[in-house]
Order: sequence, then C-alpha cells, then structure tokens
Amino acid sequence: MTLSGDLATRHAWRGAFVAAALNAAGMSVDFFLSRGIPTMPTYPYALSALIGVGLMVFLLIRRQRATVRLGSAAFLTNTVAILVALWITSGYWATTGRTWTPFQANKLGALAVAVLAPQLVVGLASIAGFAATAVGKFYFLDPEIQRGFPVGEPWFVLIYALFGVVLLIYRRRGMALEREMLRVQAEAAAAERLTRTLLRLRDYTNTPVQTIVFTIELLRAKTRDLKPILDRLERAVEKLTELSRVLTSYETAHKWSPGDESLDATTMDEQLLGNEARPTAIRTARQTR
Amino acid sequence: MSSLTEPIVDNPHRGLTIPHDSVRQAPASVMGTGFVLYVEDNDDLRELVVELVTVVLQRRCVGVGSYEELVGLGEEALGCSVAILDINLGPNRRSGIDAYAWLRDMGYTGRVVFLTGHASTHPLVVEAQRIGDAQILSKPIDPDRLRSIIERERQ
Repeated sequence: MTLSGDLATRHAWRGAFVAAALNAAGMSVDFFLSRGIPTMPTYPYALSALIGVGLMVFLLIRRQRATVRLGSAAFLTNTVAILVALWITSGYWATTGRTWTPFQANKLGALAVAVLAPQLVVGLASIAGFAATAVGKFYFLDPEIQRGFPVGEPWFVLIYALFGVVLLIYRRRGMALEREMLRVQAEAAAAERLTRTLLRLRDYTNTPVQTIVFTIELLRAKTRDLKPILDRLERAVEKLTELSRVLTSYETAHKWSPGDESLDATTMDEQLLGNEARPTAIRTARQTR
Repeated sequence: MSSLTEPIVDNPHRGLTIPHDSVRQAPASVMGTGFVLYVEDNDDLRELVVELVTVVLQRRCVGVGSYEELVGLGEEALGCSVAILDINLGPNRRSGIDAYAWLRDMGYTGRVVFLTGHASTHPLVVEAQRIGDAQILSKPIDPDRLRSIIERERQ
C-alpha cells in the first residue's frame, strides 16, 4: 500500500482508504436493500459511493506522497458524504411504515470511526457528526413518525458515540505507545550498529598502531638523529591508543552475532572504505613487501 | 594423540587447558633453544617484530603468517621459549587458538602469549580466555611490554 516510511502517515492513509471502501460497499448494499421502497431516491447512495470510489482512486494516486493531513482530509470528506446520504435516506426509511431499526448506519459509523480515524480530532468530529445527524434528523421528522420509534431512540446513538470515543482514545494511545516503542527500538538498533562499527574500526586500527609503535622503537635503536620526530610520532600514537582505550568501554554493550568474528581487514576495507579503497590498499601492501 | 593433518576444529582439547601428561613430549634436542616464535598474519607487523626482536632485543625470532606455516616448521617450532600468537589469523583461516592447540598437542611446554587487536568480548578472544596457561595481551602493547615478555624467558 502506501510507501511512506512514517507510521502515522501509513495509518492515516490506510484508515482513509478503508473508510472510503466501506462507504462505497456499504452504500451499495444499503441501496440494494432499499430497492423495495418506491420513493427512495438513488442519488444519495450513488453520490456517496462515487465519492468513496473517487477517494480510493485519489489515495492510490497519492500513495507515494501521502501525509497525515491528506489522510485526514480524505477521511473527513468521506464522512461528510456518508452523513449527507444518511440524512436524506434515513427520512425515507422512517416513513415506510415498516418495522425499522433507526440509525443503524450512524451507530455503525461511530464505531468504525474509532478504528479508522487518522487523527483524534478528526475521529471525534466524525463520531460527533454521526451522533448529531441521527439526533437532528429525529427532530426533523414528523412527530407522528417520532412516536413510532422504539423506546430510547434516538438516544441510543449517543451510547454508541460514547463507546466510539472511548475506543478511539484507546486506539490512539495504543498507536502512540507503538510508535514510541518503535522509536526506542530503532534508536537501540542504531546505537548497536554504531557501537559495532566503532569497535570494528578500533580492532581494524590496532594492528597498524602496533606496527607504528614497534617501528618507532626500531628507529630509535637504529638512529639517534630522529629523536625529536619520533617523540612527536610517539605522542600521536599515544592519542590513538587513548582513543582505543575509550572505545573499550563499549565492548560489553556489543553482542557478537554468528559470523561477526570472521570479519577482519578485508571485509573492513570494503565496509568502511568502500570498494574504491581496495586497489590502493593492495598497491600499498605490494609496495611495502 | 592428534596427527598434524587432523582438523584442530574438532579437537576436543580446544578451548581447554591441555594436561601436559596427555600429550606427546617434544624431543629434548629441540626444547629450550630459546628463540621467539611469532605467528601473525599481518606481513608488515610480523616482519617488523622479527627485526625488532633480533636487532633491539638480541634474540632470534621466527615469524610465520599462518597456522599452516607453523605446522610446516614441524618440531623446529617446539624449540622456541616463548610463542607469541595473534588470535585472528584471517577470515576463514585457522586461528591462533588452533596454533596454540597444535603446539601443546606436539608437546610444547613453553610460554604462550596471545596478542590480539580484537575486543575482549570477541568470540575468539573469549575462547582464548578459557585457556588457563596462556596470557592474553591487547594490541597495541608498548615495546617495554614486549621486552618483558621475552626477557622473562631469558631469566
């Protein structure tokens, strides 16, 4: 689906896409079920389903440039399309005179939002929309029709809305926790990689440093003329040795994986210096032999 | 008793202190002739140490670059009074620990010092630490340390 690396963006894109798909599918089914009602208009269903399909296409086109804001905007647009369609069609359902469970779609919508909303504010607004349109529509109906509603309606939708809000907050906090855990894991993995690289670098340089140390000693024994130069070189080596000692404190933090121990100079050349360094390294080695 | 061609990888002694009474005794003629044996895969460092030990410390030093070269020395290698072994002798190559096991297996009773550039937590170093009768030193060591290792044998 979306190629964005950001978890929140992925959630937003996916939530909006699924909501749009549910809109298109739900409205189609609702239209199919309402075909026995002669006065029921087609356009609210068609409009809402088309908007759902259009949003799916739009989201697919924009999947590589998805943002949380884009997902939220698509989600809200989809919600508004559903609410408008439900506002119109629920009036016709109520006037059929048949047994009807009022505002089923609004109740279902309030719970679906809790699962799919890209952001908390968008979710709260959508749940409020599903609840408010149900209650509002009830008061727009003829009092005679209102009296035919089951006991407790339309207020049951508020209970659904309350459950929706609780589920939405629960889900959002779970996602925040998940993101935090992923961040901590990513940081730990990055620190582990850095430690491994530093330790390999240190291991890689220990033999050359040892070579310099012994070369200084050999030159000291062979000639006294170079003493000031060799003293400076020795001080420089001491700094390098100090650095090596500092890195030793990271040894316990690094866990060796199978195969790590076989990595040495050849692999290090390629990993740390790149392939371009190999000919130079080989040439240098040949010249010194 | 292991033969020279037997894979040391499967050697049951590996990683353990090898009881000296369980291995072949080296011929008296080659024991204690007093040279320094240095096993190191880095050519520059190996040649340098051989020169340093010879010129500065006035001791004969034999340097080999791999386990196979060490085995190639045969009983001559057993004449050293101290064996300084690099632990990691290259990727997919037998290690200094294998060299240690071969020396002990052949009856070498002299001193062994592991010299390594790797972390103390490196698996090979951990394995070397389990060996009871070998000293482990981390690169870089200063020349005085090298001198003390070698002079100690002389005393």
